[in-house]
Amino acid sequence: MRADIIKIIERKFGIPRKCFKDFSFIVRAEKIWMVSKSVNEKDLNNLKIEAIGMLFGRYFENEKRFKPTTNALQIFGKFAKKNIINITDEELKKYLSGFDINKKADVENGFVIIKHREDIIGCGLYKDGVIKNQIPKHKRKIIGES
Amino acid sequence: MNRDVVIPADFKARYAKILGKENKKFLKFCKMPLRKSIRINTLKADPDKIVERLKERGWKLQKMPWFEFGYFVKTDEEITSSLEFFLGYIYTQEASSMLPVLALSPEKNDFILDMTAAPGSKTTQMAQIMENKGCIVANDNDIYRIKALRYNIETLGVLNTVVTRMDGVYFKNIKERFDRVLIDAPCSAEGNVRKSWNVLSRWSVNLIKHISEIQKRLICAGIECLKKDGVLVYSTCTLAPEENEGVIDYALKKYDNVFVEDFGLSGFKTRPGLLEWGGMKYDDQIRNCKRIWPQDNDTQGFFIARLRKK
Repeated sequence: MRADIIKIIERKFGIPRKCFKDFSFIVRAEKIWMVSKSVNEKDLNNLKIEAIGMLFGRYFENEKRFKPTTNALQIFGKFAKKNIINITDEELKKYLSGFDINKKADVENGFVIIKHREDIIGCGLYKDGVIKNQIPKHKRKIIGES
Repeated sequence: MNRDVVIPADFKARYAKILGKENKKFLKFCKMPLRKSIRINTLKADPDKIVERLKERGWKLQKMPWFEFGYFVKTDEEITSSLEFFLGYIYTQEASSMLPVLALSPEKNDFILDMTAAPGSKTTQMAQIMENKGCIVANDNDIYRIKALRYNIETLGVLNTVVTRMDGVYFKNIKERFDRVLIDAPCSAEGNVRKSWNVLSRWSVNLIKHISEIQKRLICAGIECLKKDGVLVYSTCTLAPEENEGVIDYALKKYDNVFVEDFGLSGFKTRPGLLEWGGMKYDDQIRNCKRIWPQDNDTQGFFIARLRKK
């Protein structure tokens, strides 16, 4: 499964596989978690575990589609080479408030990386000139108050 | 500007016993709002670049002498509404709340227990120092607080944690497993009065006594699950001796295989732990504990003890 996940990310965003060498993936149904490999070396017996590491993304088997989380892209998006959409100051404000953006971009339809200047903002869903907002609702609220 | 705060007479009287004439200054500081402070999260951001971009926006930043990634800030912006906060480049954390982790001095490949971790300020600070290596078990027993913990862990790009939901006392059953243990214990939160006036509205000596019993159980559990030669840091954001020196003294009497270590907090004024209170004489080692009074560094009040297991 690890190899499959890395292959998908490499093909979709051009993020080199070496970026993931220090991390393990844990798959639970469609959810994929990422954790530092050093965690695997520790004795976790008899602990009531709620979560390990960070939610990295979801893989929808039926649609053969992988959706990375905003948090994951904020870490690894800086290594991406393709399917990146740069947005303007005005578009950033709109996007962080939860709105979609009309913008034609030279990217594949599907999940893309949203970038503003040097910052990786997160994930977007691009289809035919529209970026569908993927910022989690609880995060939008914070920015919406600014 | 001082707030319209009514301080309970019992509270004033207790600290007059410790501080004497200085009590007036202490009570004055209790009424003053806290300075805003942030930690720059090096797991996601380059500190120099962040300082530069915040300054360009008119933020005034003053580096904390005791922690290279801690800054006092002055800005008209709401920090938690900033883009940098959204991106996890910065995190709001009170200055003295950064100290327990410095006392613990985590190392990259350590196996660490943060027994009462939510909302995750210290867990994420440790992860930053450990550069996402090793492993931190970030525990809490409250599902709602765990949600906040998980949110902060993910937003700050922390990848070396295991979040657990257990009563901290349960760790007494896990013998000698962790290299380091942090117990930032639930407390009467007197030191938080500058942040929230509600702290004193529910304050009572009975509450202090009740909480100190819980704290004693937690520190015993922490000692049990600590490896030999491991370090345990016990901290509270209260100044009540029953919850601080009283708890450490209890642990020293119960366990002859732990001792209190001195530790440095360069650039931060601290005072030694009290050696007596309420007719009780405490172990001499307790002078190695650190009391942090609000008036000494213009921060919230805190108490920190560093224990080592023989």
